[in-house]
Amino acid sequence: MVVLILKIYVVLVVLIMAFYAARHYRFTTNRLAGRQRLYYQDLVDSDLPGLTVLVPMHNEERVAKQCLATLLRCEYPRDRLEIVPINDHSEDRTGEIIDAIAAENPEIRPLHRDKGHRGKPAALNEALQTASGEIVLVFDADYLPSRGALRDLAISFKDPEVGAVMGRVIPINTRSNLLTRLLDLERSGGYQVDQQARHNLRLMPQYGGTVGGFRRDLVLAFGGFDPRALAEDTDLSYRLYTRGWKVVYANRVECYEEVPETWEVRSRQIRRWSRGHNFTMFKQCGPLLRSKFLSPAQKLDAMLLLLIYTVPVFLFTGIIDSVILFFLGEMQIVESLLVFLFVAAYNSFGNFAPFYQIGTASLLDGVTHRIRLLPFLMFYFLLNIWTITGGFFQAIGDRLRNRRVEWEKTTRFRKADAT
Amino acid sequence: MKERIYYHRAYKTLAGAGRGGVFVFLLLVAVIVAAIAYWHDPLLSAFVGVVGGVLRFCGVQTTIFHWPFLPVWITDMPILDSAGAFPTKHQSVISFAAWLLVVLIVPHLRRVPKVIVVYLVFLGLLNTASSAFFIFVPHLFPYDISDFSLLYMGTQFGMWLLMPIVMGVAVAPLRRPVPEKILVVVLTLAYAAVFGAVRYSSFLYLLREISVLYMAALFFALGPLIDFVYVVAIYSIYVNIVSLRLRDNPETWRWLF
Repeated sequence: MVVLILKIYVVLVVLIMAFYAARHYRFTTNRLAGRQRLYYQDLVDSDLPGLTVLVPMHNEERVAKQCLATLLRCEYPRDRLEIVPINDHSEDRTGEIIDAIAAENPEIRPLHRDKGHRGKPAALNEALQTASGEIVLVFDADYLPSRGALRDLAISFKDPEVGAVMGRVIPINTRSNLLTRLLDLERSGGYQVDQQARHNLRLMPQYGGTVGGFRRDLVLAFGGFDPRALAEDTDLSYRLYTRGWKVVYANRVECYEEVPETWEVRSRQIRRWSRGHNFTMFKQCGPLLRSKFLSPAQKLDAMLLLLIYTVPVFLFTGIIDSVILFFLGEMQIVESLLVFLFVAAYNSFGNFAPFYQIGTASLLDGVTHRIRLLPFLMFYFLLNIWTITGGFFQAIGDRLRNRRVEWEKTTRFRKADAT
Repeated sequence: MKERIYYHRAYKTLAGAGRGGVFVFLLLVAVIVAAIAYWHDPLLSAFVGVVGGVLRFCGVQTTIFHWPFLPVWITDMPILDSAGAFPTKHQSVISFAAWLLVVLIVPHLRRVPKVIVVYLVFLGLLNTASSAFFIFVPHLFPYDISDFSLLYMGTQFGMWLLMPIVMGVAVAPLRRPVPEKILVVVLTLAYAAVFGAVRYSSFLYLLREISVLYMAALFFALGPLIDFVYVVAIYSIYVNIVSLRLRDNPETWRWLF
């Protein structure tokens, strides 16, 4: 009986993987040669909405100056723009740097936080109370938006159905080492194909918490961001969708970010994302299934997206299951074939984007030789499975104990803060 | 200074392969798969014969057996059998201690990248479990070399059938000549055959000359897992070539503007 259950579980995992592989294949073909849905960048309106740009910062002395300088260079009517760098319990020179820039630029209105809970959701909630713009855009401190980014993102809110918008993230330190090159490939697959295809197919492009924004009143009406959530962005996306709002993806709006340059930092980042995303998964499953605003196809895709950080846990337990079957002498003919399917499937998916999706994205981006690094993503999938599984169990603990999680900042690698 | 400036990449697409082209290509891939399935007996026999020859060259004697495999279709699977080196209790204890140390120490080595740590720990856990098995219940170890051979050959044949499908589906949407894409599929299969033979002979050599204790690690860490690396590698080289050609032929690009 136990052996039968173990074998059924392996088959189940294979089926889940095959389903995801098919989903991503659909995205790939749609993005490669299918009908593309435009964003709103062609809208011209002199009456742009009041805009607040929030930049949460905790010990960001390496990047703060460059980020703010780049934001100041962005094109947006100055009388409608405020930039709020949130100095969130920093212990380095972040506050000093912000104040120095604010002294010369009236549109920069710093918010210094040294009381209350530290972390992005709490920082955003506090800043939202005093934000003057009807539209709020959020950038992480290491992000460098293109000149037209603010205008291009804000214009989407001319559509009264749009609740949030997301732009494209591109690594700026791609050439640093193998990891950064691999992350560039992964980002390319995630944005150029995945997000755009979901936008095309009217499924669920996701607000990613940076290079994006939302309507301030809407989020305040929701009671702000959940301070327990590490993935406040995913949480907001689902809250919007299940209430009938649209989240749109702006592939045209590119913003540069710094990706982790060491495996250690990357694994901590992934673990945090997994913990946060899975916490949201537990929270949003019910509302998603009950929502009256989504079609069955949208619900299915949204559910698959919600489970994206749960799938590696299935894989992890599937590997353990296979090893147990091996030592029980039950890895017979059919199982041995299934193992290949299982492995093929999770190699297709283990890095969030299957190899054909990343290959297609690179092709569209005009990348040439870097595509040959694709097999090196293999180095990475065991690490992903391990860290994501760890994050999953932490999320269960968070949910059961209703505990508040300490926000872990991603280490920055920029050498000098040159503007 | 750029000679020509194109539209933004955001809404760039490529002329698709067309339904007719995709259909013909996938049909040919299906023919390849059907051919492998139909001529499984000579293919598998040749494969096993080559591996046996390689091992003989290395001084390892093996025997070709035909073992019952499936009730229909492949009723007999040709496999290589040999006497495996069964570990002594002493060897198992040393192996257990050594791999346990790897599991305990490697995660704390700061200079070893995390990706390598996870892989080594995975390998270490497999070998620790296997060693423990041979310490406590060696008589219950369910495999000898013939069982392992059957498992390996089953997996290998499964890969021969699935690889053309995986590669075929991956390259199908690309607008390239059908013969070129078929060549990619055939090259992948050829590589799979050569790599599979090298690996099978290495596995049997290790299991016979060193110990069957490492059977689990060989299967899980260097088995089908590694096969997918070269599938992706061949795909990436091909897409790289396609990308370079497209760069020189921007008329194949499409924009929404």
